[in-house]
Amino acid sequence: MTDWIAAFFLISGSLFMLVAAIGVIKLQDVYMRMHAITKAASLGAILMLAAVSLLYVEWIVWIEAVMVILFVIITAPIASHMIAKAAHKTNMPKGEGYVMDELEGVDNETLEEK
Amino acid sequence: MELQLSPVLTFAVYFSFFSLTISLFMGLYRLLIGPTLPDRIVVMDLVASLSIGLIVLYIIATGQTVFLNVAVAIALLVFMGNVAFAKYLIRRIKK
Amino acid sequence: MMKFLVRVFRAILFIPYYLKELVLSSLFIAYDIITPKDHMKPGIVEVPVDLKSDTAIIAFANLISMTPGSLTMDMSPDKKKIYIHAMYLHDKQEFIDKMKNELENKIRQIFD
Repeated sequence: MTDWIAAFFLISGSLFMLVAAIGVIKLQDVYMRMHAITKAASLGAILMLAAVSLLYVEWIVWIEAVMVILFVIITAPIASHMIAKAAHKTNMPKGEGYVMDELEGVDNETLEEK
Repeated sequence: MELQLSPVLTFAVYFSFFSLTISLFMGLYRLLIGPTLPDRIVVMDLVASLSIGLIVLYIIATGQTVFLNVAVAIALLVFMGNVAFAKYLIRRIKK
Repeated sequence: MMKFLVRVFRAILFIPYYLKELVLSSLFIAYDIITPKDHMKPGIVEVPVDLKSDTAIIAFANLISMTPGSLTMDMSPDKKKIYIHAMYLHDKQEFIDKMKNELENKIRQIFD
């Protein structure tokens, strides 16, 4: 039974990562690709780590898996947020079909102060 | 490679290896053609997640749970790398 | 002390909600990537924030990045406005209302 659940986690996690990789090729600009990576790819990593902690019932494995999961959950949005901010500040080209851009022309200096 | 696992898990491990390898090649493609620098940095994030997945698969295939330490190190380092790249991008445009 | 315990309890309840949002948004974006026809209307929206502590703001930004179709991009220096990249921006006011009512209230209960 455990094997089946772990296999399900492994396959769904790797499929999420595959979808993220397809998105990296298919989506049109940096921000959209970042959507794909922060969500789908980190969920894939979390699912695969869950599979490992199901298969090996040892406390050291659990601690390390939980550590990696927490770290991915906390840092993936922050990293994408910083890269999106830097990309927008350096005027990277946006894709087509943008409805509005309210950040255009606003100069926030928050990244430099810290 | 002969795996000492149940058939379901063996299939899952092979399937995941296959799809992760394809994803790596897709990331490589974007890394090569990516028009701007942020595109390439984004690929770094993807490859980090992929290598965490590959480490997990390797652990399941061989039973060596020691390699989870590598996953911890990768998760830590990639965040630092992203922040450093973001700062570098902004500083480069200032000059 | 009691207040602290209530907060910890709410933070524990927050984790399943966060994971649910993560799974939902991954499914959304997976659907959007796999189907050939794309129905995206991207845009960058300015949303006012009135959270006090820094922890609450960070949690809010992380939660925004994990909800379907939105990604935090920037924050004004006085911490009053947050800029969000949205993927399906059909109605601006509706989007802002969703952010304010659902997510910010959730965060305020826990961290502020």
